[in-house]
This record gives sequence, structure tokens and C-alpha cells, in this order.
Amino acid sequence: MRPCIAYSNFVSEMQTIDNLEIGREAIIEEVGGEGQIRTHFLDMGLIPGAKLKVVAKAPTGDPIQLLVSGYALTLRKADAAGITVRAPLPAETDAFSEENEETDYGRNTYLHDHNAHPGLGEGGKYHSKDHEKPLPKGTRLTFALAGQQNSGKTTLFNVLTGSSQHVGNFPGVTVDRKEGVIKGHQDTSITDLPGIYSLSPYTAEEIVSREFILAPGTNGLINIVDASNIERNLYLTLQLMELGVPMVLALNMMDEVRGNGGSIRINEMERILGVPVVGISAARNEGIDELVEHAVHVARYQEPPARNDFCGKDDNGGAVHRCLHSVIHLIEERAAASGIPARFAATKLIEGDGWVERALNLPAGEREAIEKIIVTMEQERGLDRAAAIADMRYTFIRKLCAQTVVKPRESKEYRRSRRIDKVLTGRWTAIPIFIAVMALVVWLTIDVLGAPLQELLDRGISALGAGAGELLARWDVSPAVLSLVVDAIFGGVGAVCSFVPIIVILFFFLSMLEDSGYMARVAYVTDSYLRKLGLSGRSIVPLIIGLGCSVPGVMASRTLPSARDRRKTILLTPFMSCSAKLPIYAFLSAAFFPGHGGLVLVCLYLLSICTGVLVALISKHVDGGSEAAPFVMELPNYRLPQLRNVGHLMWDKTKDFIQRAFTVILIATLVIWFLQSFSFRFEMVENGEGSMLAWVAGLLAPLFAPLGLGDWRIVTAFISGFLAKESVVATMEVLGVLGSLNVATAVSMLVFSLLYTPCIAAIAAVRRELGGKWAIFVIVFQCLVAWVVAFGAYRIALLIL
Amino acid sequence: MNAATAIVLAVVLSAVAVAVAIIVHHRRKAGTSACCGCALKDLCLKTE
Repeated sequence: MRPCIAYSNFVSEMQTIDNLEIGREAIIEEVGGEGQIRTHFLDMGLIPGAKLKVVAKAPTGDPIQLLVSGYALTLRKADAAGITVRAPLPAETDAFSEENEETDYGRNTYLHDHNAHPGLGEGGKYHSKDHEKPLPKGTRLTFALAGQQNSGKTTLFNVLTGSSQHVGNFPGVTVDRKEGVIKGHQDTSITDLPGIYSLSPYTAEEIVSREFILAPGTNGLINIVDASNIERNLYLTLQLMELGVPMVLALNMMDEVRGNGGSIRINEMERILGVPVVGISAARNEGIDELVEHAVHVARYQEPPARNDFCGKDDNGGAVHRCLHSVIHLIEERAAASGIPARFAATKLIEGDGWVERALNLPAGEREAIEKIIVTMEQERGLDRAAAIADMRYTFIRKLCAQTVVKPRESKEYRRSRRIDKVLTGRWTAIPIFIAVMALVVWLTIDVLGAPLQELLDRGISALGAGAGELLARWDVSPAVLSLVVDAIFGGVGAVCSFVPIIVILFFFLSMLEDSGYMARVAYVTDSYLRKLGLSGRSIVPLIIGLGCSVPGVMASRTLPSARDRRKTILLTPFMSCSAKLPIYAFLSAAFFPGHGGLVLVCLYLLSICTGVLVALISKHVDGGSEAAPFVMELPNYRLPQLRNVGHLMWDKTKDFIQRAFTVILIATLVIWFLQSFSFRFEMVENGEGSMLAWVAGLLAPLFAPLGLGDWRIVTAFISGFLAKESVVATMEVLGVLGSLNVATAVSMLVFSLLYTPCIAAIAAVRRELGGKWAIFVIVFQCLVAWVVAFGAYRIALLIL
Repeated sequence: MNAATAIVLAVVLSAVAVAVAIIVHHRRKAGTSACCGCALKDLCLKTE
């Protein structure tokens, strides 16, 4: 331990972040760890020399909330233990002082005084025809919209495209892939890339983003940054500039910067960076036209960034500069042949990016030479390769900001967020408030708003079905075709469509919570509990929604940042008993446990949660105890949700759901209807008796005999529940199942119904998120678990009753 | 089979054909001009 000067509020000696008390301030000395988590630390600005302050801790003391470069960051104690800090020296303490926020313009590195407008990305007198390389007339301009999370990317995309959006689906990527046409520019197309912090090769989002930007079809790039948190946001900007793709820098939230007494010398920043810089406020629709004009210009005339070199000759002895330029010379030809910009390739090679290394296909000799150059740089710089490159970028950014940014004082948005957080993430208040908020959301969604609307829609569809049935009967349409229309299409697909109000309302609340910044707090507060199950804090939301309906629960898992967490959460969501199973519980409870319906319900819900927890623990063990994805997350300031974003999300989800209802679900429904309505001689049957489905049910019946449910009619009811859980009760009534049950078999049936495969709509959602194989796995796995638990329950019931 | 039955059956089968066409289109759209040069098409193919 190296002793350091002690100050009242600062750490007194070298220690790790996890040991710091709330309110303590420190300077990062060393960033430990390796791989994704370490790179993520560096990307987020946790680099040696950076200043931080411990702001708060979650109710259980884990994760920790830090203030780094003016923004709130959370990380787990286990991860924080890898970061060593020391007390700040007297000269460094001003970083924490509100009185000393003025930037030192004396340390001006890029000496061009002027505030004259550089005119990059503009026509008229600013555009030189001598060097222009315009794309052929009629070329459709393809843009990528890139930015860090919480930079206002979605808001900007919605403003740019209006309603002309096409939503694709990319599980494995944090957000949907959205495409649209820029308003007023029909010959353009813009793709909203996932929110990323850097172009490191660790997440699917980062790889997908850089591959998309480097693809030959991409003509330009719009990089949105949060101007109120500019230092960290520019980190991605520098990496994007290294790609050499024509780009425009959009400084978003300029209204907030101005409102808090800050400003940005945009002309000077544009001159230094060599890319057009436009100040905007996406939420207020300010500066958008200018942004689009610049973007279209740089893309049409293929004007790449004028600068892609960010290492100073004299920065820290120039070790990184020498290393980087040596590597660039070595790989220049191979990089050109591989279609990767040499500067980007060199930086990534030094950082240890395997994707670039494979793409360049370097011979052993060159690889060795590069390794020696890097090792020399590490020795001279005193930092490892990844930290040295991150430090190089942040050094450039600090100088750039020193020259061009008048930092606002601590923003009123941040101060307001801190005040709200004292209650919403407080030690004693966080969990009760979270439970109350989620209960309110589920209650409003399922009971108050969703159920009546669902019922209304269901009645409407049923009335339509009845009307269609009457009409077809009047036309003397054959009974088989009549049943096809009424039972299969109106009854089956219509039942699935009746979920639409619930989905829309749920996503309304979810997007309000997400947009306001509360969802990030929920993850922060619940992370330590869920990590014990191998899940992440963010998993809590889909699981709770799953108690209402598995379909939106599975869909809500898209808010999870890692594919592994998303998969585990989706697999657990169906274990949460959905509200569509309530009629089964009510039906059987009324028949076999009169007067104890409430108790039965509580027991069933507890059983479903316990089974889910058990499966999560077993799955964690099977995974080799692998931890959930690193929880290094920014806590954005609380903001009023943008109604435009909320509206777009609700529309997207509704469209997506209805499209699925009329494609996959329609076909599956018709298949099941056919099996249920016809015998093997293709003769229509009454009430399913003698149908192909009954035959299949008869085949499966022996499997259910150990559960006391070896009756083909019970199995048929389960199979029909695959279409929609509501139809279990209907089938039981039609086939007269109740008479063949007793108390013990009713327990068995309740438990099996609770845990067996979710309905076809939920399976379709799983298929959409994880693929067909996982969807089949969910069906088989849930049935197996249900069988085992129901068997146990049946045996216990036989012993007791 | 009377004419009304044939018409209703034809409508239903057309709807099924459209549904199948949409599913197939999603599977094969990486080959369309919309996805030409798109770096995301592998992910798209894998998951749609």
C-alpha cells in the first residue's frame, strides 16, 4: 500500500473502489480485470488518472453509484474491487469543486484562434469542387445513426423519420433495428444502430454497428452525442472518425447545456475535429434541418472526416503516437486490401481486437514485430495497451473540451435526479416503492385498463364470428368450412388478437418508465438479489410482467443488454403464472376447494415463483456458475418521457404483434383446428371425440397416468390450452372432464396447468426473440418440469387427502 | 361443394398463402435489394 496525502473527504491510501465510503473522492490508479468488463470500464471513462466520487449505494450496499466525468455510473462491488484508487493531490481536488469549473483555455493545443465558421459539410462558397467525389446522381443515400445509450438517439431517429419507419428484429442486439426515410429526403434511408459506448469487439451490438458502418452500402454517418455529458460521448465519436466514413456530429441536448450556464464553441470544435458539428435539441426539434443538410452534403460528396489522428507527438512522451504510427505503416497495405481503414485497424490491433487481426490475416513476422512495438509502448507509457489507447483518446478529448466547451455547473437535472433518487433508491424506500410501482403497472394494465378493453375486443371478435357464422350458415356453407371460419379464425386468431390492448397498455407504461430513467434505477436496486440467481437487475421487469402475460414479458426482455441475460430471462418468464390461467384455477378451485380459492391461488403463485427460482439456480449451476453480464450502467437523469417515443414504441409493438397473429399463429391455429375437427378418414367429428387430436391425446394419455390424469379428454384440454390457456376450461366443459377428477387429480391438474408450456402466442414470442430451437426447448422443458412437479404434488395430495 | 363454400374456402386459403408468403419473404429478404450490402443480414437470416 502506497501512503497518500489524506484529506477529510478523500481516500487516505491506495484502496479499491468497493471499499470507499459514500461521499469519498478518489483518483483511479489502476484498472484491473480483463476482457469485456475491463474494456467497458475504459470505454466508460474509468481510466487511470480519472477522478471519481462515490455518490450512493444500492439498499444492499451493492452495486455502487459513482460520479465520473459529470455522470452517474453504477457498478457491482465485485467489479469495483478490480479498480485501485488513491487520494487526489491538492492540484487535483478542484475537479470536485463546484466553484472551479472554468476551463483553462491557456492550455490550448490546437491553436487556431478563430471562431470563423469552417463551413464543413456545406455548399456554396464553402464547397470546393476541386476535391469533390460526388456519388452518381440518383444514388440512394444510406445513413447510419450511431450514438451512446441515453444520448437521445431514439428521439432523434423519430424526429428524422417521422412515421416512415420499418422495424426489423434482431435478437442478440439490444434494440430493434429500425430503418426509415429522412423526412423531406425521399432518396435517403437511415438505420438506427444499437446504443453503444465504443466499437470494442465484445458485444454483438458493437460488432454489428461497425460492420454496418463499414459496409459498402453505407454512405454517411450521423453521430449523436449528449452535449451535457460530452467527454464520455466523444469517446465513441473518435472511434467513428477513425473509420473514415463521411459523418456529421450532432450535439444533442444543447438546450440543457445552455440552461445550465454552459456553452460549446461549435465552430472551433468543427475545425479541430474536421467534421461538421451541429448543435441540436432532438426533443425540441431544434437544429434538425441543419443537421440533415450537412449529413446529406457529406454523404453525397463523400467528404470523410479531415482528422483521424488523435495521438499527440508530445502526449506523455509520445510513446502511443510512435507505436500507433509504426503499426499503421506496417499494416497499411493489408488494411487497404481488407477494406478496413488503416488507422482504425492499427488502433484495434493494439487494443487486441481479434476480429481485426483475423481480417488482416497478418503473417507471423509482422505479428511479432507489432507485438514488440506494443510491448515497448507499454513500457514507455507505463500503461497496458488497452488503457494506453483509451488514455490517448481521453487525453485528446480533454484538450478538445478545454478549448471548446464551457462546462455547465452541476446541472439542475442532475440535482433534481439526486433528490428523487434519495427516495426512489433509498435504503428503506427503494424496494417498497418498486413493488408499489410494478403492482400499479400490472394492476392498471391487466385489471383496470387491459382486461375491460380485452373483454370488449373479445366480445367484438366473438360477435363478428357469430355474425359471420350466421351469414355463412344462411349461404349454406358446409359445416367444415363454417367451423374453420368461426372456430379457428375468429375463435383462435381472434382470441390471440384480443391480447393487443394489454400489449399496447403495458408497453405504454414500460416505455414511460424507461424514458423517465426509472427502469435503470430498478435494475440498480434489484441487481444484487437477482445476481444470486444468475440474472441481472434488469431481468426483474420481464419477470413481473410475465405474471400478467408471458407474451409482453418475453418481449420486454429486449431491454436487457446482454444476450445471455436475455435468454435466461426469457426461459424463466413462462414460469411466472400468467393471468390467462386464472380461469383454470378459479374453475377447479370452485369445484374441489370451495371457499378456499384465494389460498389455492396464493399457493399456486408461490409455487410458480419457487419453481422459477429453482430452475434459475439449476441453470446457473449448469452454466458453470457463470455470472450475469457485467453491470456497468449509466444512471441517466430523470426526464419527462417523450410522448412521441412512447407512441412510436406502442405502434411498433402493436404492428409486430398483429403481423405475427396473422402469419405464424394463423397457420398454427388452422393446423390444430384441423386435427381437432377431423378424424383420420377426414370426416368431421363432434366435440373432438374421434378426432386426430383425440387420437394423439389418447397416445399421450399413458404419460399422464402417473399424474392421475390419464384420460384422453384431460390431455385434449391441455393440448387446446396450447392455443390459448383460456380454452382449457372451455374444452373441459365441452368434454365433461370435471366428472372424472377428484381432489388429488385436481391438485395435479392445477399444478400441471400452472407450469406446462405457455400458449402459442408466448411460444411465437420466444421464437421471435431466441429462434425456433429455443421455442421448442421451452415447450419440452416446461412440460417436463410441469410433469415432475405435478407428479410430486399428486403423490403428496394422495398421502394427505 | 356449393359456390359459397368454394368462395369462403378460397378466401381462407388465400389468407394462408399470404401468411406463408410473408414468412418466406422474411426468411429470404436478405437476398432482396433492401438488404444488399447490409452487414446485419446474417443476424437477420439467423433470427427472422
